[in-house]
Amino acid sequence: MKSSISSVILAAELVRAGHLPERHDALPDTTNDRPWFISIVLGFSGWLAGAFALAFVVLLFKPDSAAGLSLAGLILLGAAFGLYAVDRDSAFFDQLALALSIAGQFALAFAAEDAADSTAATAALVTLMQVVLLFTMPNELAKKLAAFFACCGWALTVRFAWWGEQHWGSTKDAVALAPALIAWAIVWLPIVGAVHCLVARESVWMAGQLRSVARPALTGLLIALSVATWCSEPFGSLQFWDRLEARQTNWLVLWPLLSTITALSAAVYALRLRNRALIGTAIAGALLHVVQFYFLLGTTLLTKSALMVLVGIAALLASVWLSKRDAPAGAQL
Amino acid sequence: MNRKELDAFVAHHRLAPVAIEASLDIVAARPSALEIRHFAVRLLQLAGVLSLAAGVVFLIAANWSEFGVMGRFALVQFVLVVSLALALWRPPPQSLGKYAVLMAFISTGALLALFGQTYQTGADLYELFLTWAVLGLPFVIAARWSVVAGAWLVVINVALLLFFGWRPQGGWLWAVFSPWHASTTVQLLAPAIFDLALWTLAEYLRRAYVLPLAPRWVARLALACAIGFATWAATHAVVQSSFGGGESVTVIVVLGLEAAVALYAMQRRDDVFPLALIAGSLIVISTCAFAASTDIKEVGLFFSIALWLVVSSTITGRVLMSLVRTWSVDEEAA
Repeated sequence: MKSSISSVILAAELVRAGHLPERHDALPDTTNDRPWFISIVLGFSGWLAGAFALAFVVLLFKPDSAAGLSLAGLILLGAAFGLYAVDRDSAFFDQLALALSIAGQFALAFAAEDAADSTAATAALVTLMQVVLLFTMPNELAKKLAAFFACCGWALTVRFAWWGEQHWGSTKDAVALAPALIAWAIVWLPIVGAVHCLVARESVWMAGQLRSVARPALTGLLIALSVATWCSEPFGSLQFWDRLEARQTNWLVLWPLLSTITALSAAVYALRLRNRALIGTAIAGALLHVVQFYFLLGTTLLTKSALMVLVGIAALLASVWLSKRDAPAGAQL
Repeated sequence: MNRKELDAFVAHHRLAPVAIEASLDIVAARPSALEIRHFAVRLLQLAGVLSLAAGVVFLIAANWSEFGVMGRFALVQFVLVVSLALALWRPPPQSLGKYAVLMAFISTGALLALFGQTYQTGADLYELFLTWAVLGLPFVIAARWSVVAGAWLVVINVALLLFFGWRPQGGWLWAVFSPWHASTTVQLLAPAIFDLALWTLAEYLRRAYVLPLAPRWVARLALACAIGFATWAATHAVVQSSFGGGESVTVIVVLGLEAAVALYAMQRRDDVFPLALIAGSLIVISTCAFAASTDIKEVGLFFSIALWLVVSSTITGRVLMSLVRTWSVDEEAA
């Protein structure tokens, strides 16, 4: 969503309001706003190139230990950082840096798995790595990806730490309702809170250096709220050929349904940023979560049906209540 | 101005938070409380209707033995009839009518699934989706709402994906395609051309200002499906061990179709999305062709592919971004 007001008109309005001196430098034309679909093409290519680059490095240098993989990963990430920092406007170096960065992240993830010998610890180390990358990588796309994967890693960390390593069909194990709800809240409520704070205090962080981290982090967190539960359920949503009913009740099955709600809240936050691409992603994410809810084992389809009807009634009642509620005219939420 | 431009503006002028607040208000970068409430209401209505529809679908899929066949048919038909009655009472474009038609469209699919489940018709899954799409077409026209049009597009493409992906031997499409002794590669062109025709129709409707039925996102969805099938056909052709006449024809047709779409987009100069899709498709096809045809050994192959992906995506990014800038300047000048 793009306002028709140009930077010249905005500057004139700010001068009139006394926020800007009359004599000021005009903003140079640095229009470099990449549409979401171009980012997807470039991001996907960079990812694929990163996977092949890692295969090349592994075959060439044959690092066979955690230390060797860590060294390879750190060198690749260092090279990526250098390329990003030296020439920030070169499309070629940006893409090369993205590929090297992805290859380095894979190498460090494999090294973490080799060293820790635990999926929960590996997920935690990957989450930590993504947080570090979010704050250090001098590139917006790299920061967005880091924020998104940090959320995926965090969801997996909590899940693996609580219920152990996932194997095919492990969703047939019993998980009580309360732990499932608590774990979901531990994973997602801090992220919802972070998004809320970032949106509410936008004008504060826009004024400082934090802007270069907060803006891509906000985008990455909103994408995570929209699709990360689906992405971080590595095996459950792929069991569509397994039509067996759950042997025991596993309330982790509720995670996608709850994440439908976070996806819809992400749509509202995206509206507050006037970002159509993020609104579309959030709505698509909500639908994907319903599909995931259908396929996940853990409870009967009859229970799922009843839950969907209840959710539907609740949503319609909420819409009626909201449409009738008086709001202070012109106020910002 | 969007957020990125605002960030650049704020950084350039080193604005204080108070001035930033004023800037956000001047460019209307934040919706009012009323606007947010309207959006939330529409979102909740859509979520509510879809959740109720999903509840019905899940119930049918549950195949609950305590709930008799008559009861199941009665329930789904009741939902369908009530939806249609509501749509007639408050016809689209009124909100109730639009949501009722959406519910009727989904109920039609549930009813077909129930029919297949109860009478064990032996129909393949793709036939369910295909029949659903055919019977649901009047709802798309009646609703004049992009959500129903988008849902229909998804249903028909799931039918095409199931048929061309798994090649079940039966049903309408089998009757059409089995006498045609063409390879899978060549036959994959059929769904690509079908989706391209839908995109052409959507573009025509958009130009003819029938916006509620086919806004830009619906046209983009149709084109994404078309390019997806075309890319599948071409990659299927180039990875074959024997690259024969059928494979050559497929690659030529795919490149021709993509060139035609690119020419149209270059002529219209209002949307870079088709060009981005084509660029992505060409990157995939060329990478697969390179990997399948080269004699380079593993280490060199991985290095070459990584380098090719970086180079091709760099060129793609530069060209597309230059078009984005040029076309937006043209648009502002106009």
